[in-house]
Amino acid sequence: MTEPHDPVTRLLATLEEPEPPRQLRERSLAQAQAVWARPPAADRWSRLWHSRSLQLAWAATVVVLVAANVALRVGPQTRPRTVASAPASRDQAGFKELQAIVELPRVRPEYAGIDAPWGRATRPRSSNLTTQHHDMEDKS
Amino acid sequence: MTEAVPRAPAAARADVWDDASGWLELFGELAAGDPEKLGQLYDLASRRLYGLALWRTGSRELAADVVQEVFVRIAERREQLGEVRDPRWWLLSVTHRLAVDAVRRALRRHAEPLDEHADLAEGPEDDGRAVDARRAWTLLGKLSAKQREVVYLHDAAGMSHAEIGRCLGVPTFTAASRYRLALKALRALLGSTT
Repeated sequence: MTEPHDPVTRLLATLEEPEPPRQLRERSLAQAQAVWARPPAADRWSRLWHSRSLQLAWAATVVVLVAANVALRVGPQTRPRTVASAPASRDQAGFKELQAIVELPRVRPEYAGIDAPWGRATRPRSSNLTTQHHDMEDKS
Repeated sequence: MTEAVPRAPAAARADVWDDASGWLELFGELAAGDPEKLGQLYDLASRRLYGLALWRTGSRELAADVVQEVFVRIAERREQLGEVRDPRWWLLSVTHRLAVDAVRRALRRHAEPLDEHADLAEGPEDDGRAVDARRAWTLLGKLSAKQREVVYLHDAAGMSHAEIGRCLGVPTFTAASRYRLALKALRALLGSTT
């Protein structure tokens, strides 16, 4: 067989797997045998399934969910009527306030005609507004 | 220093690693609960595993710890060994991962780069090796751990790029690219030393 000319190839051809220390055999096998003598390690899912803290957490979650479900179903029926009527009256008052805000001044009957073309607008019925409007026209 | 172990011819060792069925049979026997097979497994695999760990960690002490940990893993997971598809890649992958972890732990402890006190720079332990081998070890000790690992698996263990990629958990292209860069770095090192 011819020797490779490339120095790197020639160097790499001399590489061999290194020899492990002799005592490593005894050390590794002794350690492995010791572990072997113990019961086999459980896999991840078994460890989770048998975990005491996880079991308690699951139980607590189930209890809280059931209790919350029962409280939501039974709770409103046992409350007194007077308590129930208070929010209703509050709602009504709130609705009136909201209606007053939403209602635009121009859709009120006394402001009818404000959208008419310029110069032909019908005057509002309010006497104060009428006076002011006249004053402005006179100045111009 | 340590006592030299009688060495099997390289060709015979390569044959052992090429025979997948023998490894499957051995793992099957271990999974069946035969601890005596651990010794047989050690004799077959220890050289390659130790070499991989040594070239990855750059330290004989860490490499020995890694090999020991591999055998502890085997004992811990003996019940799942029968499900391993190819024991050869499984062993090399476990060794690679443990070696990476060992380097990380050592760096955390010492906070200094391992390569600066790498045992690789000293070359092979026994004096029977050729001068070229010693020189190769010295030069390879100057490469990065990833490049050293690939060169070891390719040239000392005789593995293909695809096999290296499978063992290290990287694409074949990455393994080939690392090898190419390692050769380039070696050429540069040789040029600077000659």
